Order: sequence, then C-alpha cells, then structure tokens
Amino acid sequence: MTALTLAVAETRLILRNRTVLVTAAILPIAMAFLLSRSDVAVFAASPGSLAAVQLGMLLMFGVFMTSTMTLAARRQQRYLKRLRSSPASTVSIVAGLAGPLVLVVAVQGLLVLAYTAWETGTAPAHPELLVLAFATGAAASVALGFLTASFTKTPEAAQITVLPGTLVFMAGIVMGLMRFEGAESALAAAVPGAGPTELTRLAWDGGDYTAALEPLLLSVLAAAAAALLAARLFRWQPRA
Amino acid sequence: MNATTHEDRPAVEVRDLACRYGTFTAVDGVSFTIAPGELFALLGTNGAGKTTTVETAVGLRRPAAGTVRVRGLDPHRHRRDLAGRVAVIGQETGFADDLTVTETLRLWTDLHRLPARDDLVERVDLAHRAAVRVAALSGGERRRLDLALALATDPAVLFADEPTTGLDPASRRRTWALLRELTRRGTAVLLTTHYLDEAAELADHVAIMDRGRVVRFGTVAEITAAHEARITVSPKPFDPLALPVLAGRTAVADGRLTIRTTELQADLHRLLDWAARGGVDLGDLRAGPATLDEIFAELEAQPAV
Repeated sequence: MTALTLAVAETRLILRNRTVLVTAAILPIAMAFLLSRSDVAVFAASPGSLAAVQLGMLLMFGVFMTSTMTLAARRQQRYLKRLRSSPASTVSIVAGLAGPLVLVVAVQGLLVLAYTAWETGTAPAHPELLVLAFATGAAASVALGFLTASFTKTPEAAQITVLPGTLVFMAGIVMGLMRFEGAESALAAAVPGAGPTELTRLAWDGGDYTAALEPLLLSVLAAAAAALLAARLFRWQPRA
Repeated sequence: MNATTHEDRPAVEVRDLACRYGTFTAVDGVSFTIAPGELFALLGTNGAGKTTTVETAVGLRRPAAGTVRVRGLDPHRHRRDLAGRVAVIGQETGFADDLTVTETLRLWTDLHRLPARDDLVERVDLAHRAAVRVAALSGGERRRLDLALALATDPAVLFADEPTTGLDPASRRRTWALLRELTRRGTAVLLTTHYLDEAAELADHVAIMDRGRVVRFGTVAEITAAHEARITVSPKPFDPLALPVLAGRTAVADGRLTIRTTELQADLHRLLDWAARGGVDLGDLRAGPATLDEIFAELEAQPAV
C-alpha cells in the first residue's frame, strides 16, 4: 500500500519531467523499434537474439539510466531524506521509486516484442523464461541504478556516471549473444546483463530447459550482488 | 541538567551526546530532556552543533558517544516505530519539486495512513497556492508547507530545526501560534533557532550551545538573571561626578549613562531618588534584565578554549 502510494507520486513526477520522460519512455522504445528494422545477420538467424537486445536496451535506458537520474534528483531535493523520516519501509521506498520505471519498461517490452514477433513471424518458445529474464534483468537494472546513484551527486552528473554501467550492460548483452563452451561460458554469463540476454534468447528460440539453469542462476546472483553492494553504498541524503 | 517539568517519562532524553565528523567534534557531551508538552529551544551560532544534535535525535545519525532516546526508543534503531509519532521540520524542506502543495500533503498523510487533511493548507495560509507545484513556492511558503506536514501527523514529538528562517514577521507569528497549539496538545518540541526573541517568546527551557557544548541552560528568566541587568538613562543636566553611589558599573557614551548591575531594583531606586532630589530629567529611561542577545554576544566574544 505504501509502495503503491509512492509509485503513484513517482509516476506523476516522471510524467511532469520532460528529460526523464524522454529517457524513460521515448528513447528506449525508439531504440528498440529501430533495432527491429536493422539488417543484422545474427538477428535474421536468431529472432531470440533480436528480442534479447531489445529487452536489454529497454532495461538499460528505461530502468538503469533513468533510475540513476531520478534518484540523484530526489536525493538532491532531500525528498529521499523526507521519505526516510516517514513510516515507509526501505523496501516500500525502493519499490515505490523503481516500480513505475519497471512497469513502463514492461509495457514497452510487450509492445516491442509483439512487433518483433509479427515482423519475424516467430513467437517465444518458452514465455515463462521470458518473464524470468525480464524479472532478473529488471532487478539487476534497479540495483545498478541505486549503485550508480551512490556516486552521482546531481541528475546532470548522471550523464557521466552511468557510462561505466552502460559499458558493463552492453558487454553483458554481447556476451549473452555469443556462444562459449565450458568455463568460458560461465565466465561470459557472469557479466551483468549476459544472463537475462541468454535467457531471453533461449526463451524465444527454444531449447532444452536445462540450458536455462546456468544463465538463470547467474542472473539471480548478478542481481543479488548489485543489490547488496547498493544497499551498502547508497546514501539517502546528500553528503554534508 | 534536567528540563523535565511535569511528566515521568521524558519525550526526548539526550545523555552525554557526542557527534564527530572525522576528527572534528561537532557535539561534545550534550545532555537534556524534554517533557511532553514542553518546548525546548537550542540556541547557538552557525556551527554550534544544533543541527547535528537534532539530526541525531531524529535518528539520521548515530552518536559517536552517549545515548538518545525518543519516547524511550533509540531513534536510529527504531526509525520506523517512531516515524508515525515524530515529525521533523528541517532546514532543507525535502519536497519533490514537481508535486503540488495538495499532492505533497496527501502523499504525506497517505504514507502515515491518515485521512486527507486539506484543511491544513488554510491553517498555514497556503490555500491560494494549493494547486501550485512546490518548485514555484517561495522559501517562506515551503517552510509553511513543511509545518503543515508536521501538523498532519499530530506528532508526540516535533523536531523543528530553524522553522521560521526566511519567514516574514506575520508568518513567523502564525508559526509561533501553531507551535504553541502543538505544545498545548501535549507535543514535545525541540526548536533550534537563531532568533532569540523566538526562544524568549516560546521556550519553557533554553540551552545555548557554543562550539558543540551547552554553555547555558535554564528558563529564559534563569539565564538572564545570571547576568547583569542594565539601566540606561540620558540625564539633563548631567554631571557624572554628582551621581549617587551605585552597586553597578557605570559607563557614559554620547551623554547616555549605562549602568550594569546585579542589584537592578536597588540601583534604580537610588537613581530615581537622586534625580528627584536634584531635579534631573532622566530622559529615555530603560531598565531591565539582560537580554538573550546580550548573553549571546558575550558568549561569542569569548575565545575558543
């Protein structure tokens, strides 16, 4: 209930800020649709790879980058400090702040993937794996957003501070698309973003369920590690 | 030092509090208690340690040493337990700029699971700004919205860190009235302020902080009584050599005589008697105890230990 109250307020704030609205709603979906129209060989051979890159882009722009920017802004306004002095639990505050961004990306994801399915004439072979890929990817993106906001003084500074996270994210997407064997495979899948990418590809193109176990486990571990680090480092009020 | 006046359990209890930023000690051995319904004022210059004391009492900081209890609980460990009964008015107001006044108030009451309190915008004189976004409010209006949020939760304890800074005189008086109303209803208030008249007007007890320590404590009357009272007159005709014997110290500047004394009534009587006998017009006669301003200035003039 408290999280919902905060989520409603956060949605209002997102809708009223043009910069945030563009980063959260317009940029990701434009990128995702552009990818659908691209002429990349790997996408032609594997529609699941296209879906994975689209979902990764949506999460990167819509959740990771936007949450870093909004968290820095809310902290600068001392709004986070105010929320911490309310009866709202930490979990409710996090859910209330990140929930609307995840929801926007979920809706965008449905639209983009529906278009991809229509464009490629394919459909996800294991939709439940797609849900898991989105859930773990969204959790990791929120955690990475909080973590990056720990080092981000102002919303303007977010344009610079998101760069390392963006590189990791993109590397993860690329690793998730590449095929490795044995230990190399586990190493590649451990890069944040790689697990959800591989899961999405498997969910769409099909394959043995057992092949999903490793990327699923690594996706959960990557999200948990980012969340733990963020919990340690995130500051609710600006430094004195 | 104990400010408890009429209640068994203090609403706020601070014992030997110390707070440090690295090697800098911002608060050093501060102790006080605040009873329900009491307004306790912390005075001091910038950097005296007032805000650090308040932030620790609110639970935003851990003390380096000493203990803080709010309604018997450690405010840092029991933040959520206390959140519903403790309100804070900070120096920075902490609003989301793109929410309106009404939306901000509703968000706050919703978070506390309280019914909407739209009447509060009237009480803090913001009814005409109810639909305006917080970003467009003036500093004074933001402070009044802050006060409305504090009133909305009907708090048992209110921490008010310089709540009237930036307010015009009318708004200040309105804020004072609202603070008085809260204490009448049993709220314990910890007020920090630069305005000495504010402390004199509102506070049951006052502590003056200087460089992290409490250097004066008591009621305003007790604190001022410990300092020399002052009599000022502009005698005409004036012959300094003809003055009566007084207990206090005299000083003359620009034809104005100032007497600093610990025997206000006796010296005043001697002076009036002398004027009546000699046919001296005392001009603009003023007599009274030391003001908090004077005590404050005196403390500021003292070198750091």
